[in-house]
Amino acid sequence: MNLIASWLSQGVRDAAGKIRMLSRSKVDLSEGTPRSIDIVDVGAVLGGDDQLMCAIGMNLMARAPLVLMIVMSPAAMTRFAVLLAGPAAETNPQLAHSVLQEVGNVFGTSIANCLSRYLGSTVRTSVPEYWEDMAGALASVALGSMDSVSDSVVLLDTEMHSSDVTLPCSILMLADPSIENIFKTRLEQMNDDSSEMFAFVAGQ
Amino acid sequence: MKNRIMIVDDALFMRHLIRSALESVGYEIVAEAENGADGLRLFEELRPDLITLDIIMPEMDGLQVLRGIRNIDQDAKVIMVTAVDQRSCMLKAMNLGISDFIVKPFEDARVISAVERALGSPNT
Repeated sequence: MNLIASWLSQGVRDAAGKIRMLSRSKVDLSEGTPRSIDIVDVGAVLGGDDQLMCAIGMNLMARAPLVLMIVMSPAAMTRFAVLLAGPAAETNPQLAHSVLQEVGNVFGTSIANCLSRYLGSTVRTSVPEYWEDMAGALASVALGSMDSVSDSVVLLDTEMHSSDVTLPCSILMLADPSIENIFKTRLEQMNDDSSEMFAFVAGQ
Repeated sequence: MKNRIMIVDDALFMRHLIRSALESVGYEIVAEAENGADGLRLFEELRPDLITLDIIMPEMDGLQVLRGIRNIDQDAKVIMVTAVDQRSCMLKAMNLGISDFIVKPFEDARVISAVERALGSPNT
């Protein structure tokens, strides 16, 4: 999972610049160190199995399926939408939903582009969906769109900062078990061809 | 007289951002459409000075709308709004004679400068 964590982190760094642009420089994103957790611990790590959480989720199709989830508390998600679209997002659920969908697009395309550079093939993203459920059940919602999933999940803790508030946000990546081998094989190919490795690193 | 602009985008947030950027410098938004079919109908009815047009939309995409607009008015000013991974669509749009394109996410200044360039002068 280390390879997945590495490019997830790179994709989130790319997304940070776009979130800043989307928010008219009102929101900065800082990221922690990605880590791998057991899928059964997702609820506890997100604040407790019974904690109500929101997620923007989407599928990435990269030779094998992955699911990306951007998870925040309902209050933080609403505040984030207001930071991006103004007070109207608090009273207009359609606008708030549209904001979050665009945030999903930003993260999805940034991570997909990074993965695409690494794999040397196109990575497609689905339309982002909004999910609201208990933290312990969110991973199950994502699992509904996958035939099989790895036992571990990559988690990247981030924070959205504005001038007067800091909003915690967890980014989760669930992957088909075959992804790890696809990544390892690709890394071996790149190691065999140093010019390809150079092109990937330069692209970052 | 203020220049009259129409925004066609299925994403409410994108319409909100473009409207707010253009209204901040005095442009008049005469209509918003959330799909291509409505966009084309409103273009024929209102004949705005400029249209911002999203590429990926349900029912009728931006390229189909652009072709429809060209059938009505060869000289209509159109700015396409696109995501980074839509290069092939952009090339087709350029062949249909767009004024400019804006890549999402964008800064207000980019939207305003594209519109000003397309209309030939800052808004008056």
